[in-house]
Amino acid sequence: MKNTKAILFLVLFLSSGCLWAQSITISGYVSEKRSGERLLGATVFIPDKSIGTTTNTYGFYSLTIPAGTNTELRATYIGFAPFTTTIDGEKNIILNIELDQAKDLKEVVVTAQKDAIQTRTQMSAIDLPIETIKSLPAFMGEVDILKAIQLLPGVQGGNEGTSGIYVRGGGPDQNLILLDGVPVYNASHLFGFFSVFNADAIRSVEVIKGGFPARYGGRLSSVIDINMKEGNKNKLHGEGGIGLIASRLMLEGPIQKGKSSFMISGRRTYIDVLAQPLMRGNLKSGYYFYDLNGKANFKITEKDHIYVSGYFGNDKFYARQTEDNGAWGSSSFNTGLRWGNITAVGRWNHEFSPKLFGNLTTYYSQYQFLVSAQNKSSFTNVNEDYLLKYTSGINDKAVKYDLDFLPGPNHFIKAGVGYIAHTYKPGAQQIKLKSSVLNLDTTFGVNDINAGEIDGYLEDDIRISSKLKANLGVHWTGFAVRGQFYQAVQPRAGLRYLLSDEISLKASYVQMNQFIHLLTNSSIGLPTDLWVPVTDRVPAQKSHQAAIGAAYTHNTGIEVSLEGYYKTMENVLEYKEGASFFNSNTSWEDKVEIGKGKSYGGELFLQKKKGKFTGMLGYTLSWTTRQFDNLNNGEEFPYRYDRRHDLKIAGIYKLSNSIELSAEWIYGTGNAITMPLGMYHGQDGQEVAIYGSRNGYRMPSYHRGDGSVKFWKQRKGWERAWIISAYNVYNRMNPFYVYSETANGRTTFKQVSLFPIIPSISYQFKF
Amino acid sequence: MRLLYIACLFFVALVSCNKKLDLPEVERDRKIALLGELVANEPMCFRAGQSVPVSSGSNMKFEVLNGLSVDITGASGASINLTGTEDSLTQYLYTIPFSSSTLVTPGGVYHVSAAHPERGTATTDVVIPDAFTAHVASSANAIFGSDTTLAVDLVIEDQSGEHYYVIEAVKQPMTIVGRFWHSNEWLSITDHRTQYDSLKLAGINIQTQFDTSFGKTYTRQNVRTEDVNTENLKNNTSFYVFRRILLTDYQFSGTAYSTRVYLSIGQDYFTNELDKGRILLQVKSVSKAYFDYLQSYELYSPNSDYLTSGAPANLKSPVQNGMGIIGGVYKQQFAFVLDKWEF
Repeated sequence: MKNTKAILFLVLFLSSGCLWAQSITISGYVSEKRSGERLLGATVFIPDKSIGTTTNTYGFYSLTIPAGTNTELRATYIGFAPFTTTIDGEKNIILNIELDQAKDLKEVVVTAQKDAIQTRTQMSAIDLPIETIKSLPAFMGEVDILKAIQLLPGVQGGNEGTSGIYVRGGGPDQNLILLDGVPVYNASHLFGFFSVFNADAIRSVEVIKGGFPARYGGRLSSVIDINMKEGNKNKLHGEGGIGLIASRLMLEGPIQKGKSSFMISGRRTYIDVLAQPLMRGNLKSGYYFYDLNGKANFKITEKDHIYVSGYFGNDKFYARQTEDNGAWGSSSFNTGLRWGNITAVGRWNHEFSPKLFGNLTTYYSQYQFLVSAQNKSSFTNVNEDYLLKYTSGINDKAVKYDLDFLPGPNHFIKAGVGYIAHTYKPGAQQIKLKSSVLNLDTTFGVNDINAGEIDGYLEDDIRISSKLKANLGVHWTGFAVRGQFYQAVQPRAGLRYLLSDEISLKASYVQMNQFIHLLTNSSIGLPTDLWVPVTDRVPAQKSHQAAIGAAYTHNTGIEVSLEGYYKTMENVLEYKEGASFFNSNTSWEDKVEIGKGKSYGGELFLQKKKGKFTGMLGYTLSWTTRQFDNLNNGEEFPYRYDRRHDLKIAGIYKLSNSIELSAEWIYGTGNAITMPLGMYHGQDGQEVAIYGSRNGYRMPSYHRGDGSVKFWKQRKGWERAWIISAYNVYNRMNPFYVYSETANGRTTFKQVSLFPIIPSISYQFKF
Repeated sequence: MRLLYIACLFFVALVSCNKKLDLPEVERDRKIALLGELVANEPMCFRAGQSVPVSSGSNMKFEVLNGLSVDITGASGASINLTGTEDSLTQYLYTIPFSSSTLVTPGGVYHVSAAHPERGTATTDVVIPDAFTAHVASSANAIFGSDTTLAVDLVIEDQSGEHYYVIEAVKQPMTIVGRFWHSNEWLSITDHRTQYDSLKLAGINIQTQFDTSFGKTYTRQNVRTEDVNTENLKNNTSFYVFRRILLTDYQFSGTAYSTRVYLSIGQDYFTNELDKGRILLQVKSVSKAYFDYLQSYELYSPNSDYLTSGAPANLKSPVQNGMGIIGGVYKQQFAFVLDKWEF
């Protein structure tokens, strides 16, 4: 009875927005005037009534207001000139708004109060403008979205140069990286030194570190929501670049002017091609990676829109060697590594009514790793053929439906259901040996594991009063694997209280569950990192995170946020001491330890998005630990990326219309590692190392400065830019890893520093 | 699979540079290290030494620990002081063997105490397993991978309760001196090989005598297994060779269990006179502490090069205020003579 009353109250409360006797609804899409691309997160509001909303992922908005006299409506978006119009307050209106980029109009854009950070209920989230990402100094001239994300407070970058992401003490597996809504399982190229996202093909990047809305689930620590460009609906446009290690090209344009468009982009490295002339002897080897992104969208009717997009990328390392010893015989060695992702997604938007928007999504995501080595020899008429192959990976097939319901200005309700069919390929090793005395063909490993994941969510962004807003929701996940069913109900809550127009206080609590694990014993994101599902022995990961903070926007446009968080994690994994995934023919469950983690700290973030000088500053003070019964004598120990202090500063200065300067500086406490303390002779007379407490030693602190200068030139119908940049400008020898070396009885520890100062030059063009 | 690391290292080597890392002061105490086994029904004997601290740029010099007093107390409460005397291995291992003629009792618990004026007192309890039986069901030459091996089918008669087994093999040098009776005297076959061979060729019935003696140094022999119940195959494939095979009775407690062990035997065994000997296949029931120690020692290669990107393995030493282990063992041993002597 008590529950029935509560549900009745909730229904009445949620539907309170619909109860207005006389109201009108203004709905439509907000898009960019020049390209026709829809803008997500644009603000539409009625200044007189202090009522507003934001566009959803597809640029749709709906605003229900009391009927009455004519009133002014405004739409704003960062970097765009505000749009203002007067609307008839007597009837429902469909209003599609086109915003013009501010620089085209040569006007100063004032950040509207309504889309400032202090007004949003969401906390611990940062939108990174793609133009900012592209203006930051780039490693070897290659713009990298994940490395730009590493500049945010609460996000640790892992090892030198790599694109690993560790958010608020979480592991690399706890990030939900979405490309057009599709999870990308291994987002790195070249052992993590570059990410798979080609910035030319990307429209928007949002990072959420806490206070997750109920629509997100499946990972504990972050959501990185990346959306590809839709393509210019009005005219053919292109941009590209030629760098020291890679070149890229993006084309976008209308399929049917004003209605449908396409975008296609590609990128490939050419170290292998450049190195070929330098190869001597009979060894041929090389490495390259490539990406292909494509997207098309079609307006079927005024209320229906279809999007299809895909990504295809691979890394390939190869080596071939042949040797001919004349009459004695010959031999050849052929080896290769290949890994990559494929994603494909189709989405169908349908506007059921001015207040109800639906989206059907179906997608496929695959990550596969393959290594092969073959050795053939023929000596004095004895032939031998040895082949080794190892494959692993994961693929998902999914369907989901999401609804946005905006019954009134006080509610923004989102609900959805989805199903994902996972296929895990935890690694199979094949050995073939064919010789005069032996004919062997053995495959060992674990069979594919199929799992089904079903989830549903309901959330409401509620305007309780003019000062108080709440985002309440619940996410439910059910996971079926090997005849077992696991499920979790995950409550989410966020609050915002406006102290004044400039400053607000925020608080949030979330529970997150994760039904997959990543097995990794490297710190650089090797392609061999293995995704595996929960089992009876290895339960789902679970976290609770509470955060409080304040958000403030100064009248100069500088945004400031200060947050404190406390997060606990259960059922996190570590490999058992010394264990690895290599050469195993038994279950991975035997090789891992299950434990818990804890992270807490504070983050300060300043961002200036407008004016000649733009930039950001992020500082994190945090503590992160892990505890496992069978590691470190069961005692808590620092996580590898526990960084007490983490400071990042980035700035972009537009010196003139043709010159842009940018610089960044990063400082972080050294990584925690385990060091040997002593040696003795073991059972077989071999020297045995005695280690200190796990991660009890700190590597030297990490700091680095990068800089770049961009020279733009406008040509007739196109523009070009030369970008000169330097990574690690003051040549800091940052530690990548440490190893010991003993010679003549003297032991020395040496650190390997990966990148000294690395200057680069690249050329960019746009038309 | 190492290929991946080779590719990774290839990239790292292209761009990386080295720098000596100065470490802050770390734990610099030397500690007493106790190493060896107490084997049921055999005289007490194990080795003791000291560790050497590691710090950057230090001269990592091992030194013999003199002045150590070792006592062992059995279930009866009687304490025995063990005698330490340097042997031929001391100069290599920097440890001293401590021994007593007292036999180790199966099923007993011994308290070992090693005291030193500067290093303090290291203590450990050694649990000696109860008696068990094992036998060889069969043996035959076999090709394993591309290796010539001797496949031995072992049967372990497991008792109820938790038991831990270690299977290993060592080669013991074996010298056979032959003599033959000729001209009213015993002549060495080696010294008079031509004469001996001609007598044999002539079909003369020669009276011979052979003296067999065994060396005291043992050379560890690699072993292989295909048994998925072994700890070895939980982290490696059967293509690996191991120093010892580790087996718990979780899957067969209280029953007879058969397992096949492959002893690596190379062709050179039959040609190199100095390497000739017998192979001792040892099946040991060991204490849990010793099993855990050997598991991390055997499977995780703690002596491999230090690298921060790996997950270092810490050996689980039960020695208080010290390191190493004295394992409690009940041993069954089977001898195989595979080498051939030409007489």
